[in-house]
Amino acid sequence: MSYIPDSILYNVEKPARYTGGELNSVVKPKDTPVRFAFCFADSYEIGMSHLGMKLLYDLLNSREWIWCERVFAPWPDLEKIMRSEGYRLFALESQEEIKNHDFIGFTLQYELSYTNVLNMLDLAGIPVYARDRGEGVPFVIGGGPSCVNPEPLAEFFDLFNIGDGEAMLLEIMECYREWKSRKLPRIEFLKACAAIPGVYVPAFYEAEYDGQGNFARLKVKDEYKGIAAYPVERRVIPDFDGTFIMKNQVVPYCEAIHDRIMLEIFRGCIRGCRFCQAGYIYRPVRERSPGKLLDAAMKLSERTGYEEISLLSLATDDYSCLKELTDGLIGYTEERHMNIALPSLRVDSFSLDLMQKISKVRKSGLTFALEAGTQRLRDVINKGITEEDLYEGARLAFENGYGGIKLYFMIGLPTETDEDVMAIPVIAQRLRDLYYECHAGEKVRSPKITVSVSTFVPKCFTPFQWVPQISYDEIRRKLRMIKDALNGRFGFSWQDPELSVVENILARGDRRCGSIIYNVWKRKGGFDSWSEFFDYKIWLEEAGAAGISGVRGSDEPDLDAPLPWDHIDTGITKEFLKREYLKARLGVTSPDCRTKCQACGCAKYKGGVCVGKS
Amino acid sequence: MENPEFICRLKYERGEDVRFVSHLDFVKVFERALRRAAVRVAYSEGFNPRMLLVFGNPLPVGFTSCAEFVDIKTQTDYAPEELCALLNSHLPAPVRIISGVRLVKPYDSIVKSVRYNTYRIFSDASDSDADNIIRGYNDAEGIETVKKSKSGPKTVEIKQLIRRFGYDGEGGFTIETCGTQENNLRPDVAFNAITGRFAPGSVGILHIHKTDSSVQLLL
Repeated sequence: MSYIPDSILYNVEKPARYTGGELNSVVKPKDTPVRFAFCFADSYEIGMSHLGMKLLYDLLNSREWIWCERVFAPWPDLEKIMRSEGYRLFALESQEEIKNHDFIGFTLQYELSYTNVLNMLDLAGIPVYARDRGEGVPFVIGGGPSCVNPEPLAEFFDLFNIGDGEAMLLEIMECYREWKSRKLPRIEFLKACAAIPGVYVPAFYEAEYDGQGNFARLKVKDEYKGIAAYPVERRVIPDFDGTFIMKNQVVPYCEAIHDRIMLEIFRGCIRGCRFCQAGYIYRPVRERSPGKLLDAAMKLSERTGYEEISLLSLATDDYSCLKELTDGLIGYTEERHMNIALPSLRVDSFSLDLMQKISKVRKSGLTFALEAGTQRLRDVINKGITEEDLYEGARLAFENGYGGIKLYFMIGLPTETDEDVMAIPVIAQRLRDLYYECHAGEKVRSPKITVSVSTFVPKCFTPFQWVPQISYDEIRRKLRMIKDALNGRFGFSWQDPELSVVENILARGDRRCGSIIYNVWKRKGGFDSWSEFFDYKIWLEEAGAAGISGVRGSDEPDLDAPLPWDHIDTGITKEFLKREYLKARLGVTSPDCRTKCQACGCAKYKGGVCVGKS
Repeated sequence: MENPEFICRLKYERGEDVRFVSHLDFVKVFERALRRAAVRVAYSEGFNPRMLLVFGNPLPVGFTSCAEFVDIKTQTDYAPEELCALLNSHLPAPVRIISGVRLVKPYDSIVKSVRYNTYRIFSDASDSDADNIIRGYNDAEGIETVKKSKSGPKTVEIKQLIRRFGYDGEGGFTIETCGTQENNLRPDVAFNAITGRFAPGSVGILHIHKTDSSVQLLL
């Protein structure tokens, strides 16, 4: 029986999102000792596309004493009815309210989902502020990449998992079982968790600000000295190949954005593109062996019947056993009429040949993430791709029958000039010329060349963590420049500047951001990552009320000034980031981890590429 | 010589847990079950080969049914019982195969084979409402409903498309309506037209379950 009655479900969009019962969803006895509500702060279709949630769902449910269920944000049409008729947030598997579960877990993927986190807690009937949660209320636990700066959400969470969740989460569950059996007060569980490496209990720390209102430091409160760690070290699984691998996936009835088998071929990235947070906070690169991946792929295929396998990582072609893996997969997938998807693959003769072999899908288009228009700026951001690489790849693609190319760029990168921006439309034009050159004398359809532009948002734990974002007016002016130069002859899409401005406010915020998030949510609800529910004016008003102008960082930063995330040790040292920042200013590139170690600090984890394994 | 064709027509049940799954998504449920079961399904030619499955008319979203049909073309000969068993061990629990037959050419497609569909309508009608409705219906010469069409709303006569309409007690009605391509009549449309006339504003549909469909080659 569904928690929301049919009379309501008939009147909302895509009701299949709320009824559960999907293939491979896990149902356990209601009295399972530990009930974990795994929340994704966005809609079902987005959340069901997310690897981390699937992986931890499979892991937690592999323990018979834990029942992990999925929870997504109900779409605003249903939410409105739920609020007016007194329904609470519920879990899909049991179709029960989650306010009596043991844990409410959130995976934090992007800053604009923060209002949805608050909204979901509230809809569940759980106090939004951690300090208001008494005995018997579930523990609210956060993980995922946005946790490397947990401060904007510090007041809403009981604990955070910093780093790889696999081992840490199970240790927390064990700790909870022990705590529950001893019937101790709530605070004792948090104290016990603080001893688990990678766990951050924000209530044990307090922030201090200087006379001008600048962040000064975060320190352990006196009563928690000796209990709470400083800094909190990111948890890393050094032997990634030997750790838990996902062997089952829930198959949704209604299509998710990415609805296919997901194989995580490696974690981390060797590249060190200076704008990319993911490139730093998952270091070191640690690969899975092809044998384990093939075995997992077959098990997942037998259990799901999916028509596509996607190889997931930050850069597919950096996987050292790509040929071995794809050779092994092709026989299996061909026989079953399955596709292999290779996202973020560099285009060269090897990859084109590979794509020809593995993909039964029509040749629609290829994507090149060039990120910046000139070589000078690409050197600043350490993006190791040249225009020659692009034209060579594009030529190969055009000669092999591809009719479209999508180009990704960013505007607002440090040191960017108008010349860098204006180089973007020139590249698009050169690609079009190249296309006709490749098909000289033939009658061909015009190529589909699309330029996609997003605004750079400086992130913590990158060499650009000190720099400002360009102003809103500058973003608009630069977008306009590109748009005018493309003159309607190319596809053009861009990220709304308003979203990037707010993302920037939150990404490097300190604890005072919590009140902005809270007030914005109170005024307008969640779903800020959806432009139809995003309200720029309200965000600016609340940021202004909190005394935050939205400008973070400086063009001449004090690299030794305290940062709100200094208490998180991701392994990446500040010294390394300073070096990279100064090299960026000089336009000097850095080699990747395999070519030459740059002493980022992550070698202490003794994993993957740092210990000579791939 | 043309390759021999192996086609089975299967009758299946759609339970409560998949009542909101759209037709297109439901096709995927079958395709994935067939892949899990490693059935040697035949594929279409071309750039984007698809499994050769042919379904009947989409079941309206929200309905359950124990009379749905699909034709499955396979590369090798499967006994219908074998195909049923294979699928039943791989389909999600709310979908069950009831029976199957081999098809031999020439045969009518599922859509073309359907004459009438029988539905059980669960409503909140009281026994006295139901009395009025049934009496009114039996005495009425015709039942009209307004259909949206390209040239605006159109009034159509539907009683001739209803072969049976009766009350089963406890708010439950049974209705048998025409299911042909040309004159398909949705049971909820029919029911609302009837109750709107003989018990206006007092009866609402709770749930609709399709109990039978007259399709050739399957009893």
